[in-house]
Parts: sequence; C-alpha cells; structure tokens
Amino acid sequence: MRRNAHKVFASKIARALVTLVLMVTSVFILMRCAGDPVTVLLGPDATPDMRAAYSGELGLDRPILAQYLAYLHNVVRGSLGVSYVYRQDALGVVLSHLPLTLILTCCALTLAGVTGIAGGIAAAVFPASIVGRASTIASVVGVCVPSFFLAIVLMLVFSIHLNWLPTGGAESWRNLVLPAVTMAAASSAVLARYTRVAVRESLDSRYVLAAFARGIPFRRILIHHVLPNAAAPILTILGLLIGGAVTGSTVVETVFSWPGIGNLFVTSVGSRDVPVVQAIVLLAGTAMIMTNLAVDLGYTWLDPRSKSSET
Amino acid sequence: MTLPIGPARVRTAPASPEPILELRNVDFCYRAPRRSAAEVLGGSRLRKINMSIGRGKAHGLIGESGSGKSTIAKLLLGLTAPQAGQILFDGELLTPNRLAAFRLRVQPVFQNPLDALNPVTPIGKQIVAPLLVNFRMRSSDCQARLAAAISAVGLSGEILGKLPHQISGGQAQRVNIARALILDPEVLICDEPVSALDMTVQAQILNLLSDLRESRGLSLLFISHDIRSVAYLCSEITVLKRGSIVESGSRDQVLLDPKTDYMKSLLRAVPNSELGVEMASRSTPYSQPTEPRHVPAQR
Repeated sequence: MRRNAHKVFASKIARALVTLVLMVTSVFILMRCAGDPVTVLLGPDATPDMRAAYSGELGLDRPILAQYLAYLHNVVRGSLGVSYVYRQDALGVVLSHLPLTLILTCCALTLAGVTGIAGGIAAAVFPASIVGRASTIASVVGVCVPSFFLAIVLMLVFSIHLNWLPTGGAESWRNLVLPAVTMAAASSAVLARYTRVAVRESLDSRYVLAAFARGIPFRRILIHHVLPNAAAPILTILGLLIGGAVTGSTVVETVFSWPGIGNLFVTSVGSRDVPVVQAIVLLAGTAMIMTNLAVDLGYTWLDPRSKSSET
Repeated sequence: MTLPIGPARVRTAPASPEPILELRNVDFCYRAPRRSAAEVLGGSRLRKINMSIGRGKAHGLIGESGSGKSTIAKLLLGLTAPQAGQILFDGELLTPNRLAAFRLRVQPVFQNPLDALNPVTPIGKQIVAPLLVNFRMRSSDCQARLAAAISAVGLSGEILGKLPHQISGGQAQRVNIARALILDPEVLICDEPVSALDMTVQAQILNLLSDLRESRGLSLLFISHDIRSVAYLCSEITVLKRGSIVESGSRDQVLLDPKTDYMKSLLRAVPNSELGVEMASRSTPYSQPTEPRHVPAQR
C-alpha cells in the first residue's frame, strides 16, 4: 500500500516536472514568435551594424537549438536577463515585488475561502433559510460583477464618500482592505457555488440517507460523510484560484496602485521590458503547476480511491 | 441507552399478534414548487395506507416503479413524516421525541449496496459508527460486536480495512446487513436489497435474510418488484399501485387467488414455472443450483 502511494506521488511529481519543461519551452517559442528581439530593443531605425552587434551580444546569431539550450541553462540558474527599465536582474525585480502580491493574495484567498466555503455549505444545508438564499444571491452577484467595477464602487463608497480607507498605495493595513475585499469577492462567489453543488450532491446520496437511518447525528454526518466526499471539487477550485492568484491580481493591483507583481506586469508590458514579462510569466506558470501538484497530492490524502485508481 | 455486548439477542417467534410496525391511514405527498404531471395523475402520492408488519414475520411490498414503495420505506424509517395518519412502533405512536430510539431498533438495507456505503471510509469504521456515536461504546467492546456482525453475514475480518470500491456488490450488501445487525434491531426495512445484484448473489442475500429472520426473530419488510423473491421470503404481501394499496393478505391469498386485475397482470408477467417452484418449496432454498444453502460464499 505504502509502495503504491510512493509510486503515485512519484508519477505526479514527474508529470509536474514535464509540464514545467513544456511551459518553459512554450515561453521560449512565444517570445520568439512575438517578433525579433533586436527590433524590439533598438527600434526599426537601427543600422545593420548595431543589429549585428546586439544579435551577437544576446546570442541571437547562434542556431535556434543552441539558443534554446542556453535559455534552458539560464532558466535553471535563475538568470532571466537584465531588465531594460530597471537595469537589474529581471528575476530580482520580480521577486522584490512578490511579497506585496503574496500578502494581498493570501488575505484575499483566506477571506474568499472562509466566506465562500461557509456560504456554500449554508446554501446547501439550509437552502430555504435566509442565510442560504442570501448566500446563493451573493454568489450570483459576485460572479457577475467584474472586479474593476467593484473596485471603483468600493473606492467611491469607502474612500471618497465615507473617507474610511485610502484609495491606493501600500503604506499600512488600511491600504490592504479594499484590494483584498475586491479580489476575494469573485473567488468567494465561485467557491460558494461549487461548494453548494458538491455539498448538496453529497447530502442527497444514499450513504447520507443510510447514516440518518442509523441514528447518526446531523453534525457528525456533515463532518464525517458529507464534507470529505464534497472536498475534491472544492479543492480543485481552490487550487485554480491559488494558482491563478499571482496573475489574477493584475486588475486589482492596477486599480488600487498596489505595487505588486500584477502592477509590475502591466507597466512592463507597456514599456516592452521583455525579461521582466518573461520572468513573471514563468513565475505564474510555475505557481500554477506547483499548486496543481499540491492539489493532486491533496486528492490522494482526501480520497483514498484516487490512490488505487492511479496504479 | 444500553446495548448488550456480544452476540445478538435471539427473539422467539411471535408471542403476541400485535404488529411491531404499523401504518394507519397514512397520506404522503412530496412537496414540490409546482405540481408535476405525475402528481396530478396521483403518481407520487400515498393515499390512506394501512399496513402492518407482524412481529418476527417477513412482509413483502410489491408494486411497479413509482408506486410509492420506497416512500413507504422512508416513512417507516422515520426519514420523512406523513402528512396525515399515524405510524406506530411496538404499539406506540412514533413521535419526533421517540425517533432517535426508534432508529436504533429499525434498520435499513438499501437497494444499491455500494451507494449506501461512504466511499472514503473503511468498511470496519462504517459498521461500528452507530455504536461509537449512539452508545459511546469503548473500541474493545465494539470489536466483539463487529466480529459477531460480520460473521453473521458470512464475511471475514479482512474486509474491515477495505474501502467500498475494493469489494463486490454482494459483499457490499452483506456489509450493509452487518451494519444494520450490529445495533441488534428488531425490524429490517429492506428496500429492493437484491435488485442491483446478479442472480447468484441475489440467492445468497435472500437466504441470508431468511436465516437471520429465523435465527434472530427479526421482522422484515421486504420491498421488491420481483414477485419471485417476495414469494420465497415473505408470509404476508401488500401490493401497491400509484400510491394506494390494491391488495393485501397472506402470501397464498395474494399469489394464488389474486383479487385485482393489476395483481393478475403482475403474476402473468412471471413465468409460471418459476413462481410455481417458489410457491411449492417455500422451505427449500431459493433456486440457486450451484450455491449450497447456509454457506453464503463471498464473491
């Protein structure tokens, strides 16, 4: 049994590594498809001598396979080039913005996780109650309202009319409230909807009916029967939300001038800072792959059936 | 609440004619936002149901799909309440206050055995859960009852650590029966317990239920659309059609001298030779040429 579990873990990790290599390769191909880097750097008016000098400096005069291997080597070493704007290591620039994005996404996802899962369970267990109906309506509204619109509404109400919270920046915890709430709203709504469906499905199952008939109290049925069986779809959605959080905060960070990776991404695209954009894309892709790996490993812990189905 | 530790009680056959479980003038209708066509036609509604299960007897409930058989099972298990009428257990009216104690004395066995087991919990834990929760028994005491319950249904201890998807349908139904027996109930409500199983396993489960009824003095409500298995197992039969009882009586009355066209048409649908075998040899095993009786084999 333990050997089977090790095999499952090893195969999942191997799959994640292959995906990582594919993602890195895709980034290489897409960067080459985006246009000639020399033209991007020097502009269309550059002389042939300047172009040749830059091509040699960037290694673009070498065969494509050699360029690819050099690129892979640099990625493994964590060297993704020098930012054209900051004149520093691109990865270093991205990593310096990472803590603020992590703070924002952690707060938003914690808020979304608590409200979304609790709201979804309430809507499934008490569908006709005020709490259940309110949760269902709130989740529909949360999914429908775009985050940039909600951000502006919150700003108007809490920053401009009530003057309780600042409109932007990252000076104190008060700056964090509005971006975190905005980011959490959509995630919470999605989580609540999936949780409601998963819990309802589990509640309607025969094993829950059998548990009721055996005189097992409802709270125990909910904890031991319903939630473990409803956990897999909730974990999947949670994984997608966490994986996408690095780039998912782009709109919110821009609207609230939060100096995180999302904001950096928008400004880097605007200033054609290719190394920084490349570093952010690789970081976001890696975050998604790692989260998926964690979710896959979480499945085997939550649902023992997945262990035997994989072997 | 206490539960004797060790092997189950053996109840002697019916000392009193008073039924153990009874439905009196029960009406029931599923609440729906809008009335469906089936409801308008009376498809999902029970009307004036009067039915009783004798102590230590096996009572069969037959009828077509949608006639209300499973709804009666839910009512008798206290999983839903009637809109009118009464449910009596042991001569006493079943009220919400008595429901917890009632559920320990009346246990279900459902149709699809694998669906009735929690997919992520090992079999052993599922069987002992009611003892741990309702009686706060120590684990060592549970083990004695667990061993008795699984041996009563012909399973070995190896199955206890497995998950439901690792066992067969026949084993799963035995686990369901063991899970019901561990509480030492007086009544088993079997809602189509063999319809999802293949013929050989059906025979094993029917023989097991018959043996348990005889050895423990269990009362059975056996719900099925298969007249042959009802004929084999039950001494009393009730026939349901579109939520109303159309015929009720002893097995011989209902099967040999049916009063309604509906029952006659149900009987016509069964090959005469097959039903004849069950009728003529009630004390002999349910037709299973390859399976010796009293030795329920695991699949």
